[in-house]
Amino acid sequence: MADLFKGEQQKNVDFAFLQALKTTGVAVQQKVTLIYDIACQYSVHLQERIGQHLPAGLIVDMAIGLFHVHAHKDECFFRFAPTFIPGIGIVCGEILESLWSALNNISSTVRTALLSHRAEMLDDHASDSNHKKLLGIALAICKSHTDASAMVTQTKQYFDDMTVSAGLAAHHWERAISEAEKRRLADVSAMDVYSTRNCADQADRPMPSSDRALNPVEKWIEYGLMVEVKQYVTSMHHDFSHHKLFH
Amino acid sequence: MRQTHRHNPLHRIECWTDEYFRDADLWEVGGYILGRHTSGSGSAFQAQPTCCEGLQFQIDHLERHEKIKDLSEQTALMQRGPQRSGRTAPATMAYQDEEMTEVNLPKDIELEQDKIEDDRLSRQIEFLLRQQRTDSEAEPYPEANPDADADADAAAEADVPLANDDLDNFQPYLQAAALFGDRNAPTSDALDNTYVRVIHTNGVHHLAMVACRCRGSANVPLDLLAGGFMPASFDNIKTLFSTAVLDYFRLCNLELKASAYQFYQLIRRMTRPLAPASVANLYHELRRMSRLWRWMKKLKWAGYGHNNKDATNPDAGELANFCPACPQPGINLDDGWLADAANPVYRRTFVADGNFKADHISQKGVDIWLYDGGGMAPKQQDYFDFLKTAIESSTVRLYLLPMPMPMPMPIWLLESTMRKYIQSNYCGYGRLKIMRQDGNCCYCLCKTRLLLSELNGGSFQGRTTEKC
Repeated sequence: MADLFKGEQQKNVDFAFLQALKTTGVAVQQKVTLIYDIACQYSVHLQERIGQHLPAGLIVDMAIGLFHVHAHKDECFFRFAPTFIPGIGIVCGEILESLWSALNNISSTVRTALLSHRAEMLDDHASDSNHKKLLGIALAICKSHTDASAMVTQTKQYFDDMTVSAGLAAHHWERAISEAEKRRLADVSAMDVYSTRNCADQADRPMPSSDRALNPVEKWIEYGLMVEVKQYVTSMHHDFSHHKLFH
Repeated sequence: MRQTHRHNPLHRIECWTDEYFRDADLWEVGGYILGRHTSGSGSAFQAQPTCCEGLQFQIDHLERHEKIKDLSEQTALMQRGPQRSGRTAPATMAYQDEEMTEVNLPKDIELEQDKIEDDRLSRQIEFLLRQQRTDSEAEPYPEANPDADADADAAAEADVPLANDDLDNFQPYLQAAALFGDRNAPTSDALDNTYVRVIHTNGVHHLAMVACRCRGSANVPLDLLAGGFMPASFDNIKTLFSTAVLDYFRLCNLELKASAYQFYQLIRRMTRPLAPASVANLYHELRRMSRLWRWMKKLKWAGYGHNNKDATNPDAGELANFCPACPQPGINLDDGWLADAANPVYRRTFVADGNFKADHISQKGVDIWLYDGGGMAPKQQDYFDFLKTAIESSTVRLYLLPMPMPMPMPIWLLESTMRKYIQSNYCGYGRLKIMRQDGNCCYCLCKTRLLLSELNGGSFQGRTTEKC
């Protein structure tokens, strides 16, 4: 916890991050992810700012918490949401927001304390929160594991169904994603493969096709789309001819 | 009563007044705080608290004195006979005050007791005086016993002024005693041990403190602490906080978010429910002691006391909690983890976020850092040193306006002009402070993030806000 003096400046966060790396026994071989509301901006010049202070060879990945990422530009979602970062797990990355809400209850009482007393109070409350977390950690991990096992079964079923219905395209997607994930640390824009494309992009690539017969619902939807297109074309013709007649 | 409460001197007792039970204090029946020795003459710590000769003498002497009081009280009660007074009759005290004891003291008992004690007492006084001389730093220990022994008076003459000084400086903090009229709270006991105020979970208590300096006056606070009392000062001890109340306050603060002010109001109310304002205001003392107590607990949890480290200079984050869920090589990982280092289970995740609720209003006063940098907050000097040399890089390009702006200009015009000139490929909002030529300033929100002080020759002072 570091004091901010003029808004949320990057140097304050830099120091807090470096201290966290120093005091929590991080080895260089471990990959480090920093989840931060404005990681998209913060990460740009990270190496220039604190590169010399970071342990040599440490891989630092950046993510934005799931509440904040939706308020960003569209591409931030694919580049920085924990959802798309391999190996990060299922995290929202906003744990501090919930901890602040508890800490804010005493923030008002320490506002007029001396700086040292304030630091001690905030430290005590933060440490006590950690202490309580430790008391429940074993139970929480067991519960998370049970939940995760159930979820894996469900999502695997879902994923397999999707793969079957996507057919050949699935291989293409898989290749594109693994390629993007390989490149994302060097260039986060690689993750833009997840985003929707313009029709121009789509045109020169084969439409995803299925080698199996359509089921009745799919047939019905296809029929509906066809009718809509026909209507559209007809109305265009109508307008056009009307226009002509008028002249 | 005094025997059964020897190990529980902070119990609240009541006293039958022939009509009702009134609140009573243990000092009325000779209860006191006993600081038994737990620290040796060196730094050796004794697991079993002991009483030295001096302390045992004090205990015996006080006990003898109290026995005389008890006896006279019983005699007085017997003489008066069983009294069933009606509502109109004045309530009679079951516990008489000390002046009454003196008057009613049967002469023969006094003389007999004195003969036995005389020799022992003078020996004791000599011992204490000797000790005083060696212990030059310490405040002389008053051993005068004016109401029991004339010899003692003579021997301890030198101590009297100091003892009186204590009395004069002793702030009346139990005005309630005067308020109720039936209790004159004494300021020193039969051995002239000072009465101290003890703050406990059930309120403020007034009790004599029987301690001994034979192992050095520096050891008295240690002895008291081992007995569960934390003195608010170290030399001239007048206020003790029980360790229970300090723990209780810390938990109230953590769980109930109770402030020290609220908590002390609670203590005052529990002490005198009908006159809480008459209880001494020890709010500042409570705040100071709570800080010390928190510091001591943190040091204890971090293993200080066993690791021979300097408690005043802990390493960065040493007093913070250890997280066993974070994989930390050399601590909770098998040696072979490096072979599998790419496995995401070894990945470490940190979350950063700003909080703008905990703003601070600068205060006057000497700021004393008890464990600077030892907890979750960084060491002040390290932090400031880093900030001095830190690079703050802007991730936003500055777009210079091609023409000078006329001043003053309406905000809407400014905004529209800005919009025109600023390319819209950056999203974000900035608060713009516009310095007018007449010296006034106004604010507007603009749709971009700019440092406008660099624009237009410094006529504008822009500030960026944080959120994207």
